[in-house]
Amino acid sequence: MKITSPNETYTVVLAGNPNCGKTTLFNALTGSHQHIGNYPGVTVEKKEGQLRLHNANIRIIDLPGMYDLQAHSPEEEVARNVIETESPDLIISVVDSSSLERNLFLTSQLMEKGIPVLVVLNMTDTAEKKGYRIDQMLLSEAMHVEVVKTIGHKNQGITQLKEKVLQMCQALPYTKKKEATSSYAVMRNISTQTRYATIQKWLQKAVITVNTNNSRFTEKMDEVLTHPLWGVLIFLGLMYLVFTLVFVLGAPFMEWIELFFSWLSSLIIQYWPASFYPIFRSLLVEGIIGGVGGVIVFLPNILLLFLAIAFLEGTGYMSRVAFLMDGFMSKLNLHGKSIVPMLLGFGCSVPAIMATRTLESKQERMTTMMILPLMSCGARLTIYALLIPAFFPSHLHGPMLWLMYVIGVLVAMVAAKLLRKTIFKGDSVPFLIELPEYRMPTIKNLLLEMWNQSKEYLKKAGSIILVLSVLLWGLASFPKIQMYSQDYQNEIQTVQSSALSDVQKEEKLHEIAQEMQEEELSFTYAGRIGRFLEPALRPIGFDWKIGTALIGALAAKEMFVAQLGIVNAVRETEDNQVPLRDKLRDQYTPLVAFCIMLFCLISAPCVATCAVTRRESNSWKWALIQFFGLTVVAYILTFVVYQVGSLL
Amino acid sequence: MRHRGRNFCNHCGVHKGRCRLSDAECSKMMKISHIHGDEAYIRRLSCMGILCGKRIAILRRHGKRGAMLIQAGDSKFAMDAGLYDTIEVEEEQ
Repeated sequence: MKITSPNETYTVVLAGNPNCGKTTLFNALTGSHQHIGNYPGVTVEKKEGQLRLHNANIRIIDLPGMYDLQAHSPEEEVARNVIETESPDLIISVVDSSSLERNLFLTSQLMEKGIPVLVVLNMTDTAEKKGYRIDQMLLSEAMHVEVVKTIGHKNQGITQLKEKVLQMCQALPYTKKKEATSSYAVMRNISTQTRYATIQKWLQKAVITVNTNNSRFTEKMDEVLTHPLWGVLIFLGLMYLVFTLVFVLGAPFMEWIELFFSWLSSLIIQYWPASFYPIFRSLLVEGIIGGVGGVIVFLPNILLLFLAIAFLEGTGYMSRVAFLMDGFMSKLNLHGKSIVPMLLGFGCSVPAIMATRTLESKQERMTTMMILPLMSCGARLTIYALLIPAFFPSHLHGPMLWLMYVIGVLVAMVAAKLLRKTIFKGDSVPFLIELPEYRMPTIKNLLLEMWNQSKEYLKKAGSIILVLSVLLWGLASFPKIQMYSQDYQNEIQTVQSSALSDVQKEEKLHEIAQEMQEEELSFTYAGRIGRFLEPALRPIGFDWKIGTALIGALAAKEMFVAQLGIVNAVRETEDNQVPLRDKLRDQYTPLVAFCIMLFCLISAPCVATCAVTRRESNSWKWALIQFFGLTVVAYILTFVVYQVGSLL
Repeated sequence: MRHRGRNFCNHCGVHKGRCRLSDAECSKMMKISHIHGDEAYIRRLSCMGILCGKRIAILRRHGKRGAMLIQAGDSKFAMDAGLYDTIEVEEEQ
């Protein structure tokens, strides 16, 4: 092998049909951990990574999937533009070996671009299960291109692929000269049918089909999972199971983390004298542990939710859900494919909004984008995980969580119907989605996907939530009150010297301490902001403390929990280490708790969601309409629920 | 596919009142010669090789609205059921 000179850099693109394993190969080549899934449309923008081999720097670009070089949707445009404008040195045409005829259509078009092409026969294990025996050498001879076999998810054939990539890059001048006279240049401007006839000839030489019963597994699964009645019932049941398991399996781990933070707070309070830099002690215990700790407590729920989403994505079930829901979605003037971003929205709205790029109609894309924040994301789960166990009996935890998700979906449906009838009028594009073979995702991939998503949650807790927690602690701690409205010290002395029993004395002293804390808090900046907002929030059952927490939630929904933790922890005494849930239970009713969850579910999305809406819609107008529109809808619905609930 | 009773299609399992395909259409592979309707979309299907010039089998259909499952060549797709009205069948096997 020729050794290249240092700093020699090549650009290589990975192109292919949707869901043929490009990102899996990209991760294997570059050591990245990009999101993968078994359904078309997982990658919607180009991803870049580096591969360093024998002193050669190879810049690898992973493209969104496309069926042909005519771009029909925004993500296909991204792919086509890279091939047209980046002038890659090599195109790796990744094909799903189990659907060679369809996949080689794009390869035949790529071969006409005047750029060397390396064909990667991926998923050869699935092809063999379906009874296809592919002769790599014969196919290479027939197509006049280099061919490599891989099984991306098992990391098989990756070394050979790397070597072949380097070999082809190093032979670039020779290959380029050869291209001008090669036979595939003849294929330009030929009809689709002729192109398929050529593909058939290639395959006749290189592929032998043997009878096998293995592909019947997918058929049998589809008989049930795509059934008009059973399919829908199974889908709803699965969603219910996921939300219940998120709570049931997550509960013990949550308690352990909660206990750990309580223990940590007690430890600091015990060993850090109150007179020694009391401000920093308060900042650490009330601001950082109360705020960030309050958010990290829900990590087990988040991990489980992302594990469930990764499993559904990895098996190939997402396409089936799109098929099942298409009829229903068409009643809302939405596309069946809209269901995929909506399901992703249960994890996080940001990638979900980007996933709308798979929708071809602009109107359908905009409608889906506008309603996506109504899908309960992982951040909202922290709010439900705090309030549901605090206010509802244990047998209702699962159903309550499920209800919150269902409410979000129902409101989204009504909103979609209205938007399609008014602002985003227009005909629907016919529905078309590939249904991949069912696959069992590997444990490694599941854990990796779960960890990658959860890492973002932890990063957020360690960055934006930490900074905001410190800021909100400052707002909830300053300025210090100089003069109380009542002489509390005198009241305390009166109670202590009274003839009341010890229990009565303790109750009385507790009441006085609470009044004192309320007055101190309401004197702070947070208290003043909360009091300012209170008249507007009273009709929906919220007090000023909830008002200040809602402001924090604008930056990130988890901040609602963090801020409640801070407000309720500030001025906490050594012997008053009560879990946040118990404190909330003392202050609010189940109706108020439900209204908080409802308002947080529907109201303005977080800053990151607004920013991505602006970027994807290319307009501040839609981001602002989404922000204010959803807040108004949330206020009206919460008002109705609270007022009607109060009458019952 | 299992026989589900005389009121149900033997092939796609949908109630005959909702499934508009004949038994022959439902069970046999069809070769699509032309699709009427939106030009851009037809070009797309044609380029993808999903319908034009392809033998397809209709695997399941959910009434008049919504998608239907088809086997087109070596791939399986869910396709808008409304498109069926715009398909011309060239031959049956």
